[in-house]
Amino acid sequence: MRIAVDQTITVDFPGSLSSVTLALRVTPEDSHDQTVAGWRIGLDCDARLSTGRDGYGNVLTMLYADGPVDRIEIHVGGEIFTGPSSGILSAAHPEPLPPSLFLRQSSGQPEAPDLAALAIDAIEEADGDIDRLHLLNVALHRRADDSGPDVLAGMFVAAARRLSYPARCVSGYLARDGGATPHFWAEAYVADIGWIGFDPAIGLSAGEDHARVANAVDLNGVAAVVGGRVRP
Amino acid sequence: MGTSGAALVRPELTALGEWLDTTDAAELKRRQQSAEVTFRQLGITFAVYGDEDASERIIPFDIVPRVFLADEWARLSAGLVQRVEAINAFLDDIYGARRILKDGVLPEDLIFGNPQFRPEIAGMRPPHGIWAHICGIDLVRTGPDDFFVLEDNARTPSGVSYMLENREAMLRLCPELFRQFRVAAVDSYPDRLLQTMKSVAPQGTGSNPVCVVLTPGHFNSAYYEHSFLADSMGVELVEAADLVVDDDIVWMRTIAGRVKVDVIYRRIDDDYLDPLVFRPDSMLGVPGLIAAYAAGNVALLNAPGNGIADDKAIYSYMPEIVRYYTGAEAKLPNVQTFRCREPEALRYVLDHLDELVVKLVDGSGGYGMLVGPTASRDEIERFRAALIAEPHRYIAQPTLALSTVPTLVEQGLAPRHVDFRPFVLTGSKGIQVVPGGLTRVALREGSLVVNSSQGGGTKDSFVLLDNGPAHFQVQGGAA
Repeated sequence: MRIAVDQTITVDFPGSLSSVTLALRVTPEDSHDQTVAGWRIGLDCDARLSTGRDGYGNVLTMLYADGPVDRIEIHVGGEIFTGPSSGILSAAHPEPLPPSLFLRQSSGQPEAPDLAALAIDAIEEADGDIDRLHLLNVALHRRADDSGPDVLAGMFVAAARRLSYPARCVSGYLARDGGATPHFWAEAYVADIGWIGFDPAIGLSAGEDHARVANAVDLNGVAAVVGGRVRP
Repeated sequence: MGTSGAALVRPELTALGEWLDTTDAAELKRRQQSAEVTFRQLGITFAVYGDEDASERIIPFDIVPRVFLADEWARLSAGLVQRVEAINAFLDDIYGARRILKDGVLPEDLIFGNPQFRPEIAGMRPPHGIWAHICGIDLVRTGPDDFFVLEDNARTPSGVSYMLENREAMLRLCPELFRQFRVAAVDSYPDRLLQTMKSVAPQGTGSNPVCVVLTPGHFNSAYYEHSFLADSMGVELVEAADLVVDDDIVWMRTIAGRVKVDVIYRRIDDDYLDPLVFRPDSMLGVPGLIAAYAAGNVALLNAPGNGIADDKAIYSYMPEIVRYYTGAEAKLPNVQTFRCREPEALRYVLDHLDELVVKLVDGSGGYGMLVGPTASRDEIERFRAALIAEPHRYIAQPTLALSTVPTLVEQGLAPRHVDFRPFVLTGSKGIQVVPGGLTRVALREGSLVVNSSQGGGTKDSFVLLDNGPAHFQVQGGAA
């Protein structure tokens, strides 16, 4: 599938700053599961960009701009080609950190007191690991109310960890109506199979309409922009 | 000195005993008070957590020095060098290749489940591969040759200003001691620290790298030490607002324009260091600092992520860690430690709570601690419940027959329990142990808790260049 991304992120700096430093995680990478073409980051101001990697191996772009500045527009775009997917991340995908890291309780996770009960109820009839995680995913999707994909992904991660599955937050793009929107989902680790993407916002596993950008132990670690107030 | 219980003077320290005998107790008291007045004027104060009324306390100072003989010190130093070498090798490995886990020496969940392991900086390597530039290793003594490591401090150990100020006070108030004891000087510490900082500057910064001390600000309990160290090294003391990162390079704002910064001795915890990477609500940190560090453009002392090396849960594995990286048995042993995460250890601990010291793995400074032999029945039962609920959060250790040293108290001289924090510096040219340190003394009779927040004091620590004079010669006018 071809996923065409053309996104504008507006970041506000209340009070106008004399200089601005932002951390961006907006760049997808070539992998066994996706191929990226013509990726670009454009800005409406003079700034310096520097690209490196964070501790999770995600592409991290630092943005440094001189002030006074009260607002920056960041244009991100390009094409991502994905193949048919069962949601299982290719074993060839580089993993700098082991699954057991993603069992930790993180301060950046949503605390829903009934999450444990929901998780246990959801998997009562489950047959095997994948089925359990699917039922959890569906249960979260059903009670989604008006929670955004980021909150749901965080809940999935917290619930899966309580069931002793390593789980992490993932950011990326979701193909929608010929274009793409920024999106969040989760990945859980099952021994002998690997990392599997689950998207509680749509109640399915993450398929070929999902293009992956970053993963981390919590939502803070996958935010597209850290350092300013991103306009909703 | 160094004996337990009774106030016996070790024969080789007869001279110090004679000094105490020939100096009037009232005179000692007067000198001690004079030192404390100076400390208060200097502002060497600390704040006690949870005690808002007493934010300006000084740590009590004891006039009677604690003495290490030259050969004792040589053995101790060798053990400290080995320990710090292992700590650095461990950090380089655990954030890199993780050989020690692949070889099955440590359980994986001990590292990856530990909040002190920071995934944010995994794969990054500090300039010259040195992580723990400044270590404070807390030791206790139980016999003439029995030193044990109580705790490793590989993050931002404090207390070195006490080592230096205590010595200043002793030189001024008891000059006669320095005439007769050949005491190793500690006043070179700021120079050694600066040399250490310069030696770990990133490649390409020239022969005179710019070094700074980064402090959270004057409300921090160790602010005096931050300003003292910057001042005595002759480098700038900066706060986060004085630094800006641009194009992965750290700059200091000065009235003459911006100056590139190469080495930062930061006295800010990891959590607050860079709001783009760690706690986003931090006002104390410098946005982009970790990006500059990852790009290899700045050295941070100590490196971020070091908490995994001095965590109490890791501590019990230090003998294995030392053996793994140095190929030799640890010269400085650990205190026997029961890991309550292990069911058998937990059972033992629960059966012997009245004999043990129980510590919270992620606690610090004597809070969240049970000292079994002196605890009330209520306290013991409270800890029992806590241990059963969350065993993985606790370790337990036997109470040790800690050494005592003569200390000046209301009634005159009396034995009091002490510990010791020597400081170890690691630069690109090797490891050095500063010949001195911070001796902390439990001023309450019988108490084993030396923390300044819990009624502890400090005293000077003499490292002798030889085995000391046989006798103290009383000289006219010396006292």
